[in-house]
This record gives sequence, C-alpha cells and structure tokens, in this order.
Amino acid sequence: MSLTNRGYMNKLLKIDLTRQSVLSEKLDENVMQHFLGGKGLGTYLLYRGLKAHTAPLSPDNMLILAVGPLTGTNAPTSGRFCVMCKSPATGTISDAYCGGFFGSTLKYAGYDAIVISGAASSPIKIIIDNDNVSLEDASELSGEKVQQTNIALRKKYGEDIQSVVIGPAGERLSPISGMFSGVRTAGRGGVGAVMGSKKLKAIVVRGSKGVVVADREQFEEAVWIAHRALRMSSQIKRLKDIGTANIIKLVNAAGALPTRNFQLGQFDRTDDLSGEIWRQKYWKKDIACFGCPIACSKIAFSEKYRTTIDGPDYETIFALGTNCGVYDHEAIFYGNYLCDAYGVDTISVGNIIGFVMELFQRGLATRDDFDGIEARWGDGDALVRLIEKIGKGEGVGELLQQGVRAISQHFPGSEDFAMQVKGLEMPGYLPRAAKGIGLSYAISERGACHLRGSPLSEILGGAEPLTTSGKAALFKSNQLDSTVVNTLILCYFVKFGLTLKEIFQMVTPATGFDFQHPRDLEHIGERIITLCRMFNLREGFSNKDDVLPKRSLAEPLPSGPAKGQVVDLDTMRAEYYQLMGWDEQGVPKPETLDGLGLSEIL
Amino acid sequence: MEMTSGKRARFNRLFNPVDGRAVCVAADHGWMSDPTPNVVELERILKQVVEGGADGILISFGTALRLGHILRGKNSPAMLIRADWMNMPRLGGSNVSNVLPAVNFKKIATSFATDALLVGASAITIYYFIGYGDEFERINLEQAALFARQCRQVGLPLIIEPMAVGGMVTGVNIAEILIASGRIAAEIGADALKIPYTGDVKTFKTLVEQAGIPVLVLGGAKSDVPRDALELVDEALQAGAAGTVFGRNVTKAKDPRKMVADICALVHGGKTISNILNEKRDGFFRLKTIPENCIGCRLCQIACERSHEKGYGQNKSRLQIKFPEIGDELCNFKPVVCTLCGKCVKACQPNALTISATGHLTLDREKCTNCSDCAIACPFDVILIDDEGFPIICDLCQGDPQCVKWCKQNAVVTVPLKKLPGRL
Amino acid sequence: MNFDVGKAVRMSDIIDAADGRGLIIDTTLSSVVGALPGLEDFATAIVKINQSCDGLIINPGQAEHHASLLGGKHRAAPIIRLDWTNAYRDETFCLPATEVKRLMISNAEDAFSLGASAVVASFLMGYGDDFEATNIQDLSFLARECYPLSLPLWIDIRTVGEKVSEINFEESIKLGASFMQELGADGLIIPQCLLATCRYVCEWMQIPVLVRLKQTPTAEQLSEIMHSGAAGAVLPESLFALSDYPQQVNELYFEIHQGRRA
Repeated sequence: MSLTNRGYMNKLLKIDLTRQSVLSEKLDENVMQHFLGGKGLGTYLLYRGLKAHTAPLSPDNMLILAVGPLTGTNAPTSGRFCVMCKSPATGTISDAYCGGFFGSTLKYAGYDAIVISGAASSPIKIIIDNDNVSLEDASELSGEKVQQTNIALRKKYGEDIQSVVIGPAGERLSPISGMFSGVRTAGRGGVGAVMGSKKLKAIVVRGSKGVVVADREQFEEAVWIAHRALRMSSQIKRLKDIGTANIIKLVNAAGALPTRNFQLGQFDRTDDLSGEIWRQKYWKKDIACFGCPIACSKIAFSEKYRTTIDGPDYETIFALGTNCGVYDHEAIFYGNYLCDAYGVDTISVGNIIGFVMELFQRGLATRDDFDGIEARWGDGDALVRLIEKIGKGEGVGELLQQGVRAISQHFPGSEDFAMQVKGLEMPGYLPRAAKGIGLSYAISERGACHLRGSPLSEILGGAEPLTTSGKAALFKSNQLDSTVVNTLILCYFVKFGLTLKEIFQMVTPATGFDFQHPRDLEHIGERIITLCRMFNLREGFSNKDDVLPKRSLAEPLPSGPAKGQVVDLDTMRAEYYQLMGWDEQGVPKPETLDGLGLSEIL
Repeated sequence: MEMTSGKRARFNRLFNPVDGRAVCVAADHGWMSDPTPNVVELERILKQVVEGGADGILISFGTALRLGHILRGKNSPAMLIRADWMNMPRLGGSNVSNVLPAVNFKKIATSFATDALLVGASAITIYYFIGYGDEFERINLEQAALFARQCRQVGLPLIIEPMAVGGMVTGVNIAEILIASGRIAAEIGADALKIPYTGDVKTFKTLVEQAGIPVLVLGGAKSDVPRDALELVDEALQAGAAGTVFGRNVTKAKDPRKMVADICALVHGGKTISNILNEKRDGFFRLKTIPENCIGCRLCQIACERSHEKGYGQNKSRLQIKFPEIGDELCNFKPVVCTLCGKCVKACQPNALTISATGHLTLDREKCTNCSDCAIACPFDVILIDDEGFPIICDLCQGDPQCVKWCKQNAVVTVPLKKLPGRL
Repeated sequence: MNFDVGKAVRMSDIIDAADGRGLIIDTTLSSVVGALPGLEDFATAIVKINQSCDGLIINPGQAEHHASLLGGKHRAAPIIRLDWTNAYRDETFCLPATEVKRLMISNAEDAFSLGASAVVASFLMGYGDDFEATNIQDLSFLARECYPLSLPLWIDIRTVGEKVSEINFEESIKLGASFMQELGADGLIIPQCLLATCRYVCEWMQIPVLVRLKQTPTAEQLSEIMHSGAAGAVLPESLFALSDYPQQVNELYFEIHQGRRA
C-alpha cells in the first residue's frame, strides 16, 4: 500500500548544489513505519547517506529539512519542520526545529523532506513552487540580515511564499548560527553554518496541495480531543498568557536559574525579568505558528529602538539576562534583536558573553582582549556591543562567534567553567540544582540540550530535583516522548497539555500504520535515539564525551535551595545506559539493536 | 454496592435518588492554590453554585466554618470536606501567578473524619497521588487508609481522588495508572471516586467498571471554551460515570450558576450539549471577523478546506488570513471572509451564482461560464478560482461554518442577518 | 494449641472443624496493581466461588462494599488483609516499583467491625534490616491487638526480597515461620516450596500452616501438598483468569476435604 493519502506526500526532494541537480523519489513504506518522519526520517537518511568523518562544513555534509505525517493538518502545532545535519558546533548528529509556516507550506508543495547536498560556487537560493524546483542566484542578498532577506523574498516572490534563510553569521559559517523562517528560528547546533557552507542563502517555497489522511473520521475526532486537552491545560494557558517566560520564577525558586555563567542558581532581579513584566512593558501581540492554539510568540516593541522582536523567550532572558547578570530590559531586547538580525542562537550568545564576563571576573582577560570592551556582570551596554561584534564577526567577534569551547582554548584555565557539552552551549537550567538535567545535558546526542528530557518535568513538579535516583528512568521516558514529538513533528510545548496517548490517537488514523498502543510510538523513539547514538559512535564519540563541565561536577553550588550540590553523573549515566540496553561504554548491545529492528539498517 | 446505614444516609443527600447521579463543584482552591478571583469571591460564587442546582460542594474545613451556612436546608447541596492539603499547583503545574513557588511535592492530612462531621459534612475527599515516587505514594495510601478506617467508624462516606502526577506518568501509562488507581482506592476503602478523565470513553469505561464504586469525573483546568467542559461531562457519562466534581470550570466561569445548571441539564436532564448551548443558529447569518483577536494560526483555513475538499490545506479555503503587511511590525493579521455582501451574485451574468433560500451562496456549475467576474467583484478577494476555472465560494458549510467552530480566538464569528441580499 | 475459645470458634470458619483443613482464595492483589483478570467485577467473580471455598482474603474496602457475599453458613469467611505493599509491582505493571514499600492499611478493630473471621498481614522477607525490623514491629503490634479481640491473625510469609535467592529460599521459609510463630501468629501462610520443607515446617509449627500456591494446582499437586502436613492451600488471584475457575475451585475443595463437596 502506498503512503500517498496517508499523511504523507510520498516525495523526497534531493538537491545537489554542486551538480545543480534536482531529483525526487518516493518514500519507503517500511522505513516510514519505523521512523515516521521528521527527526526519525532525518536520522535514517543521515546515517545511511553520510560517510563517517565527513567535515560538517564540507559540501559532502547533508542538510535535511523534514516534516512529518501530521504536518499541514489541523493537528495542533503542525506547521513545524526539522533541520538535520552533522553539526559544525559539535561534530555530532544534530537536529533543530523551527516553527512558523514553512513546514506546512513545504508539505503543501508536495514534499516530506528535502535533502540538500553539495555546495554552490556562488550565493544561491532554492525556489520550490509546488512541482517546479529551481536554483536562482542570490548574490543580491549576500550579507543581508535575516529580516531584510525575508522582506526581499516576499517582495520578489509574493505574499504566499514561505522562506527559510540565514543571516550574515551563517554566511560566515559561524557554528552558533541558525536558520530562520519569519520570526522563528532553528537555532541550535550551527545549522546556519551548514546552509552557509553550501552558499545557500534562502529556500523559498510555495505550496498549494492538500494533505490527505488515512481515516479522516477517526483522525478528526482525535484532533478535536487534542485541541481540547490543550485548552484544558493550565500550563498551556500560562504559555498563552505570558509565553515561555512564565517559568522563570519557578526555575529561580528551585535555584536552577543559571546566573553569572552558571556560577549561581538564583538571580536577585528575577521578578524584574518575569513574563508578567515583559507583558506589561513590551509585549503588544501574541502570534501563533501554523495550526497552533497556544501562540507563545510574544511580539515586543521597544520605544527606545523603535522596532519589534518576537520575544524574548525564557531561554533568551536567561542567556542574555541572568547568565550575564543583566536585568536591563532594553539591553536584553536589543541583544535579542541583534541575534535575530545577524542570525545567531541567543542561547549560545548568552553563554559566550557570560563566559567572557567570568574571564573578566577572574582576571583572565582584559579589555585589550575584547577590542576595548570591559565586560562586567550586569553591564547591558557591554552585552549589546559584544553581540554586535559577534553578529558582524568583526574584531574579537571573529573569535567569539566560534562558541564557548573555542574561546576557552584561548584562555588557559577557563575550561572548567566553559559551560558546554560536546561543544554546544548549555540552555537555561542549572544541572547542579536539578540532577536529571545534568544527565540530559551530558547524554543528549546534539550536546547540551534542554528539549530532550527531564528539565521541565523535574523543575515543574515531576520529581524531586536534587535526587539522582530514578532520574535515568525519568530522562529516558521524557527523551522518548520528545523524540516522538520531534518526529511527527509537533511543538515541544504540546507536552504541557498532551501526552503520547493523544498523539498516538492522531498518528494512527493519519498514517494507517498498525500501531496498537502509545507504547509502539515510544518504541520508535527508542529506535531513533539508538540510531543517533550509533551515528555519534561512528563519528568517534564515546561514553567519555557524555560529560559535563567541571563546574557542574565538582564545584559545590554556593547558595540557594541546592547549596552544596554537585552532579553525581556517573551513577545516573550508568543506569541510563543500562535502561537503554547499551553496554557500560554506552554502546548499544547487539540484542538491543535487534530488538529495535536496527540490525538490518546498520 | 453495600454501605453502612450512616454512609448510605449521607450519600443519599449527595446522589440524586432518582438517577443516582451527582453534580458537585470543587471550591477548595484557596486552600492550595493562588488567591485568584474565584477564591476571593467565593461567597458570591458559592451562592450561585447553589442556585445552579449543584448536588454537592467540596470546600475546606475553614470555608465550611465560615460559609457552611450557605448549605443549610435539606435540598441544598451536600457538603464535602477536603480533608488534606498539598502544594501541587505551586510546583508549576497549574498555578496562575507563581507566588512563592514550591519545589518538592508535599501532601498532608489536615482534618479527621470527626472534624468533618462537626461542620455538617456529607462526605470527605482526600487525594491519592500516584506516580511521583514509591514513598510519596505510600504516604498517600497511609493517609487514605486512615481516613477509610475513620469514615467507617462514624458512617461518613469517603471520596478518594486518585491523581496520576509525576515525571514517570506518560501517555504510555496514564490511562492504565488511572484505571489501576481507581480500583486500588476502592480496595482500600473509598466509597466513591473523584478522578480525572482518561481522555477517551473506552478507557474511562474500563476505569468505571473496574472501580466498582460511583465515579465522579473531575474537570481540571478551566478552558476558555465552555463547550469543552460539557464535552468532558458528556463523555464521562457515556462511560458510566455517576457525575462530576468540577472546580475551576465552574468557579471561574463567567456565570457559575449557568455552568452548574448546564452540567445538571446534561447529568440529570438528559439534554444534549447542542441543546444546552443552543448551537443551532436560527434564521440567516453571515460571517464576521474581529481582526484584533486573530493570532494567525490558520486553523480556520484548514477547517474550511477540510470541510470542502478531500485533504487538509489552506489554498482552497473560502476565507484567508493575510500575513501582516511588510512594515507592520506589530503583526496584525487580516482575516478576510465572505460577508455575504452579494456583489458576486450581482456580477454573475449567467446567473450561476445565487443565494439559496437557506441563506448561503450556491454555484450552478452547469451555468457557470468560468468568467471569474464574481472573483473580480468580490471586495475582499475572498473568492478564489480553482484549476478548472470555477469559483471557490463560501457556502457557510451549509449552516455549520467550520471556520467559526475551529476559531477559539473568536476572530471569526457569525452574526445574524436580517435580510438576504437580493439580486437586483 | 493455645487458642482461646473465641479464636478457636473464629478459626473454625476458615479451617474446617471436622477435618482441620481449609481452602482459601486470595483476592487482595487488586489493591496493588488494580483489577486482575477475572476480578474486574468483584461481586460477579466472588459469587461464583464464595460457596465452594472456606475463606476469602479480601481488602477492607471490598469487605465493606460486599459484606452480604461473605460469611455465614456454607459461605467463604472473610479474612481481611490489613497491609499493602508495592513489592508485586514488577515490569508488567504500568508503574513498576523502584523502591519497595509497605504499610498497614487497617487494624484489628476495624477488621473486626467489618465482620472478619480472621485478619492477615505479610512478612516480606529479604528487603534488608530496616525494612524487616519495621515489618516485624507492625506485625507484633497487630498480634497484640488481635489477642483481646479473639481475632485470629494469619501471617503471610513472602520471600520476595532481593536477598532471598534460589539457594536460601527453603531455609528462609523456615526462618520466617519460626519468627512468626514466636511473634504470636495464629496461622501461617508459607510460599509453595519443596515438599520436604513443607513437611518440616508443618511438623514443627504448632499452628496451622497453609501453602500459598504459585498457580492454581491440579488435584494431584494439591494432594501432595496436603500430604506433607499442610492445613490447606491459598489459591492466588491468577485463578480468576481461568475460564472454568468455579469448577476448578469445586474440585480443589473436594480434594482438600477428602471427598466432601461444598
């Protein structure tokens, strides 16, 4: 039975930019039943298609944009897409997600995924108008900021297109650069640089087809229930009212709000940075991504800068705010604006500047090292000036844009507080104050990541944050959950109102696959995570890379509810490997691979 | 199910003797959650709940002392006492303002069964949290068992409230956990359950059957759409529930009295939701947009296309959400809909496009010459032309416009239309 | 035998006065893992066997809600379980236990008012010193409580902890039996074990010993166990999953009571 009319468009678009060739092929039903779409499909394609040790910024790296079987339907948050490649920041397999309308439009154009390989010799853009795919010169957009690029594309190709673009940082191959669609970002892992390395400035898509599901009546019923469940969740309501920033006080109360480059877990001006205050002073409008009833995007307007941004969200407030000791709203606002304009990830940028500020604190750096900028805790002005440097890649920005790990190599003695795992800067939860977070940062296949597992569950009442017992199981369970969400692809935030049960109820009638229980989806999640692991092992990663910076492991937290705590990673990690059916070195056992049906693929 | 005479007598006050069902309202939020308006204005709200015809009201011991007098009179709602306290909402799960957030989950017993008797209670309610860890569950069961014993001694019914809470509770196991927890509570000594909906009729039916005691479904967080709560009640009743214990969906409702009365109409009155909400529109109507409510999610467009086409999409929808114009940095979306202005009908020379007697546009494809005059005449550019040259027109989904049904932002609504635009 | 007359009378509801034997069925695992197959509708399941066994182990909630199905002439006597543990929540349960817990869910007086002919609580062996000590403490208090009420106390010896292995299993049963007899139990339920162990324990104990079977036995298997000196058998909840369990219970009753029909 074909996959057409079962939530899939049954078409994979393969573009080789070196040869300037465009091919399309059908999906393999067996593969889709095992990997569903999104992250699953991307992982499969990368594992099969990418030679080990391919340089991330070489033409051989593959850049995959994928959607899932629910994309484009009325299932909640079904407009997203995922970007997968080998990351230039970490050298691992990497996945990043982006909201907005590009994902649904790509599906309406008739594709389940685009695989881009090779590299053009001069700036180029891909124009997908339903069945017509063309490559066009993009020299005129070279060096343009994100917003300007978007506007130029809209003017040229019309109001009904969607685009995904990179900013100047991506063109400069910065490993902290992202891909942008409208006001939304696939921020992490340096996917912008991979796009930049292919000299690809933009992908433009127009789609006018429809998505047909296998059993419409059942699907409709399930979708209705899913939307209702979201409406009946108070966490979703909080997201709707004040966005992701709603949790900042909770995280602070748990002593898990990274402050001053993760030295502390509480920030004394947290109330100033709460969502309520941003709502009162800056946020003018809530906007939703495609098919999303939540509308967590908050459009902020600054009188000072006479401009708007989408945000700041929780991660940006932590990164540019508490992590740098900054509580100046205008500085955070403008910092966020600059990150979006030049196309870099706010989490990484906030980590970089927090790290620089600590270099000053410890006397490891002087203003001469930073083009005359003296970066002290809480200095919003220095924050903005450093972000400008990073965005433009000028002066010391050339070094800073390489990420915390690279910078720390220039400052001996700073490795212990370079807050990164596998080269990816840490998101906004302090591992010492929530142990499962430590585990998830250490294990996550793309480096320190907050979207894999326990963080929110642990801080929002899922378990006692300071214990290590049971955290491996908690992380595993959460990780499989979010892998399924990332495979379909829905938004991480649906997890605040939906469970795998409601998702299972939608996927089964949409695809017509013979899933009997939500457990079957969890099993797919386990397969994908294990294949990601196999990818990283093939690249030479091992259990020795599943670590945390010394600060998290050996520096007792000086204050707050988690005072005196460090992360006892070894026990949790060993337990996790065991739960996953991996050996003590973190290598999946043959019987595990067999049980997941991976042996034949590998 | 058998009960001692004391328990039976007190349950008789709670469960309607004719249908054995009960509509209860939980109003104990001020005891564990934020002082939101529904807490501050509890007295006024409780009076409305009584007027609405509730069979039982769940309150804290202190509220019973202070406001218990509202429940005097043998036809007024039965008093249910919340006999324990916990901090779950302040863990970030369901709080509104996060004043003084909590980090570790705590639950304690606070009133004995005899205390509840003193204030005139007809039953007590205590939590049974499962999923947060083995020790936490043990504490919960220990307290539940203690109350079960006390309640048997004094002839007071015990309502146990199982809740599946914790990081290890997932979509894979939540229904199974709830089903098991209901039975566990019954084995320990619950006389009735107050329990969350499992999310579907089939599993909830299993839960009800395996519990073997009356099951009251709880409402959870308030939805902005009153229909949601009623749908939940309806589904729970289909599954065999004996009634409801709704809190925030009632106490935070615009009109708590009406909300209770609506639930009663479902539970006791045998009415349908459509009936209760008066969803059938009388007379002619048209669509109207309220652009400032629009968040740009396109659910209306998908619903529209799905209602008329084979698949899900947004390119053949009969209404459009225009992206904010370039330079409009405040992201004002512009929804455009067919307002039944009649200009297309007037422009249609071959008379293919008409407004039917039932009040919506219809196209006679035989007569249509594919001239697109209708689309040109449309002042909102809402009429698209399909691949064959026919106009794609809004037929108001033959009376049940899906865009309106799916737009929970109220950015697309219907307004009555006194007179249909006629052809000149 | 040191029974006072009250205990003797109540004990005879369970252990037949004529032949000193009894067939008991346990239903209480439902308080740990929810309804078990065949026991979804408690009353319907019980009605099918309550006239063909001597005693029914039952949780307090069910004892209260189904009082009319239990006790009285020619009907199973209620043996109320007073404790709870998550020890039986293995990987097949939706929320497997990670740390073993136990607690007393009721007391002798409560059970008495619920019409119990006897009460039962478990001695969970093999979980370490703290666990064992509090378990023994709870059971000792319970024994003292039961005494003035003349309410027989059965102790259910469960060798389920991680410290019990295949090697020390048989000896553990002997240790448990010794402790519980000393503690003041009026009757013991021991796990199904080697017939030799069973015989040893039954001969040694001066209180009746029932054997808790792992599965519903055949008449021959039961016969062997009875020949080793047991006063009877406890059938597990898995009984109710069998399609013909009412007949099987009838047969086993026939076997235990040496050719007498219920």
